[in-house]
Amino acid sequence: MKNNILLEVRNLHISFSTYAGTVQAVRGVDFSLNVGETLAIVGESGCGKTVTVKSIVRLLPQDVAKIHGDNVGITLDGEDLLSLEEVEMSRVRGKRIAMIFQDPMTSLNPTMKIGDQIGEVLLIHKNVSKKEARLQALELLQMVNIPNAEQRIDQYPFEFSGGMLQRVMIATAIACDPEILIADEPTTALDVTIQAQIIELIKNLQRERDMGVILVTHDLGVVASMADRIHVMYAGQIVERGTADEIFYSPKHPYTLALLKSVPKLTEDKQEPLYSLIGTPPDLINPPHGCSFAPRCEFAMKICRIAEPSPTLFGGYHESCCWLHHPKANKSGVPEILLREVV
Amino acid sequence: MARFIIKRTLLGLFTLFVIITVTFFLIAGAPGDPIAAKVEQMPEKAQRVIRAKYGLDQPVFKRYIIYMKNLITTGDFGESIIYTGRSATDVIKANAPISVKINIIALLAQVIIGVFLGLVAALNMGKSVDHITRVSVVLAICIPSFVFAALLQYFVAFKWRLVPVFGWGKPAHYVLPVLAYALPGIATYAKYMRSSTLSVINEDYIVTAKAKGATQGRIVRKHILRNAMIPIVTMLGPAIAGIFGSSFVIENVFAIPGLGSYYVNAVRDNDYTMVLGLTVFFAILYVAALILVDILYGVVDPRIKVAGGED
Amino acid sequence: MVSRESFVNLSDEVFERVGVDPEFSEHLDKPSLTYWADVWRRFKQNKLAIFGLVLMVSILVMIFVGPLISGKNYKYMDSSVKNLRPNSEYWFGTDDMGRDIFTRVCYGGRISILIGFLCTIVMFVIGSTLGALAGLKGGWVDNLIMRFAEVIGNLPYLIIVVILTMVMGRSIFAIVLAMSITSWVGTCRMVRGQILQLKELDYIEAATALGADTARVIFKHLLPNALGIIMVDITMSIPGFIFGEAFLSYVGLGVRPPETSWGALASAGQQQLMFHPHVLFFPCLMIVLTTLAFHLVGDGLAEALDPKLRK
Repeated sequence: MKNNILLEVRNLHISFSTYAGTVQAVRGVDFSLNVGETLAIVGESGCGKTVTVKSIVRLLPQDVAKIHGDNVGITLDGEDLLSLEEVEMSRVRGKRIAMIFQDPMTSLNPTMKIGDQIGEVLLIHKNVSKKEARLQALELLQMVNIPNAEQRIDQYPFEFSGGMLQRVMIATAIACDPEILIADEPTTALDVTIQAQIIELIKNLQRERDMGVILVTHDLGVVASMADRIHVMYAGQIVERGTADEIFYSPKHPYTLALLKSVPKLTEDKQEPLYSLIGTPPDLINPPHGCSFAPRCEFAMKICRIAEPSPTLFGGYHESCCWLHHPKANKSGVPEILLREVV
Repeated sequence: MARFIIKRTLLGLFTLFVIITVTFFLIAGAPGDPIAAKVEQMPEKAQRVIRAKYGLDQPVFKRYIIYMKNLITTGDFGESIIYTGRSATDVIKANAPISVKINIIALLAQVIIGVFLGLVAALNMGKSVDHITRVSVVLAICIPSFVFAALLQYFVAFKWRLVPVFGWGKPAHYVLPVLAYALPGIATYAKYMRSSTLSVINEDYIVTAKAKGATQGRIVRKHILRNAMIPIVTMLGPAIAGIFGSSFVIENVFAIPGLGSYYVNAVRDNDYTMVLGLTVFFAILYVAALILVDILYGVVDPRIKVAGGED
Repeated sequence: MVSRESFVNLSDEVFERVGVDPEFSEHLDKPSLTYWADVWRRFKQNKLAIFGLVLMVSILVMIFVGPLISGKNYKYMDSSVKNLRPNSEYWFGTDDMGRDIFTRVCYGGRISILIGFLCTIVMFVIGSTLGALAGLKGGWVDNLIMRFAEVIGNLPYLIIVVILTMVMGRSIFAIVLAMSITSWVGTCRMVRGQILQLKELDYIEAATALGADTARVIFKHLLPNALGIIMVDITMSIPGFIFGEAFLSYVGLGVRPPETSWGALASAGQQQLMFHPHVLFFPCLMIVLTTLAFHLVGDGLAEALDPKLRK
């Protein structure tokens, strides 16, 4: 498995300078992505998941966002992306690592034809003529199932629906056969029925091309069908990580459990109100002492407000950062699922 | 698109009709006898002949019908009431090209320099280029062009004797008027270009372009420029419409024999028929330019074509 | 991060259950200032805007109190003190008829600023009344008003001003009417847009469905919402009108003697530019400073109302 590592993120810290003060948006994130694997990063809005993936291709505004940390590194195939010159970095973007965004309606240039926008990425990275780029753009449009591609290619974004635009974004992203596709909340802005189609499309393309996919979302439902491994993020830190099965069937962090409980299930008893987590994520200008989830955690202990918990390993890849796993922890009333030791 | 142009043209023609009619009756109803000063000394009979010549012996409404008929059938804008034999058409032919030249040079300078400055300032937001541009822009917008003109005349022409103070004919005569006229415009375009560029820079599709691997230069050329220019194009309407006479202050200050200064003089002389003729001429150009710009707008922003047709 | 091992020997006491932080859920919302207090706080932080405000007040104080201190009459001519440079007796010097320029600048300023305010009020009253009517009534009323606005908006502003001042004489009333008659279109569109937006909101629809007076509900919500935009609009309009009047007066189409304005004073000074530049300098300076003051305040206000603009 180790030899397969395509992308590695080490001890990533990102802070933003704002008028109100320095926001510590990401506070020590580590993960790696293997070839052809789908990795999901899940968390509430504002937890730093989008910032984390944007920093991989260095899309954060350089004047306000600072990437730091001891021995911090983002390496693609052994090459440190953080030390690349801007020009070298632009050769990685779109070619080796492609990205699609949350809102397809605003992510496409309103005054540029669809075909030109897809063709642009080919013109930049592949030594092709404009004619060739157009032909390939047409193929790509057909590949992502846009009907009437011949006519659609000369239309402008405002003539497309949101779902169609997201398909266009995907076509643009896969144009250069990237090794990694980063999908930042790709379905959030779309209708529920369209969401499934888009996820299905990404899944199929990923299988066909053996791409690594990083899927960022707040919706565990989206993740269930396609992620190999899941990272749960809270307040700029990864609080739990594991395979999809481990996270869904054996969560070890109270926050993960809360996220799972707040997903509506068709089978659930209709009398019971849907679980909802109280409060909002903490202010990251002054992050709380200790565990950042403690203020919202019903099982919080004194220690949780004093010291940050360190990761506890549950075998394989499954890890959770929570004081409940300490031998002396007060376990009364804590759901059995959180405590069950997995071997 | 065709439907949009037709609709726009019809509205333009209606606007034109309103302007001409209102102007005609306003001027006809103006206090005082427009011709009194000229004919006072003449014998009674000569006075009557002259009045008949300008149709002043007819009721207002009949004069209006005659004027409109002449205008539509022969394109006759009317004749000066003060200077016998000088028609508005002659004056336009003689003076309009001068105004057009000054205005086109100034407009080109305004748009090109202004857009460039605004773009550079926005791309270097918060750096010294940006600060210097912003301060200059505020100052230049707050200084009327006639103040610039006076400063330039006093220093460049009078104190340093680099170019003539005023007059017309040689290329050197263009320098000061064009400078004084263009400066506030440059500042205005720079200001709008800066803010529209800043809002475009923050759009999601710029991030998309960057994520595609486009270099900064390519992003500016292919994605920022066109989108940031959209508000600038709307501003061009009145500017293009104004190239035939909105330089009247500058023409006046520098004694340039353009249409603008002629118009102001005609107003001061109470040359009613000339004012009417020139007004009609300005109005036609103005309305035509606005239609032109609406069409241009549709070319720059593809969203307009469809929206305009359905409205 | 602290390693797990170092905590192995923690006392049992630290593992006492505390649960959800009660303070946490109560303090979710930061203590929030009211909207206007917040706007004022942001405005105060903007040094340029404060400078503009101070400048604006100083100018107003000067033009109203100035003549009392100087003790001169703006019409009084003293042929023994023609064209004096600024000195301790005549702070801004004297003109070619021996009048005190400081006092004249103060009087001229009253007229200039009065015209600026009057035009803005007329513009605002006509614009918001028609805009509100169009937005509230909808249907054919809306259609009629908006077509009318389109026609008026297509009129060449300068020509209307010239014709009206020519027909009505160069009184302040005529100038105000002429300048504001074409200017209300923008205000009208803005107010109509705001109302249409509000009409779409669910709670307004709900209130209407329950039988509330739509107009009343909308005004109750429109005013606080639109007040900011309106204030910026007003601050930015006043210098525009002061400018407009100055241009007219500068070419001799503005206020007539013995009344005077900054534009008229500048126009008179223009003739003496070469040998007595101070006659032109002071009125021009006042125009520039006043415009600057209003622009700075307007910009500051716009930024304070919309923090996103602050870049």
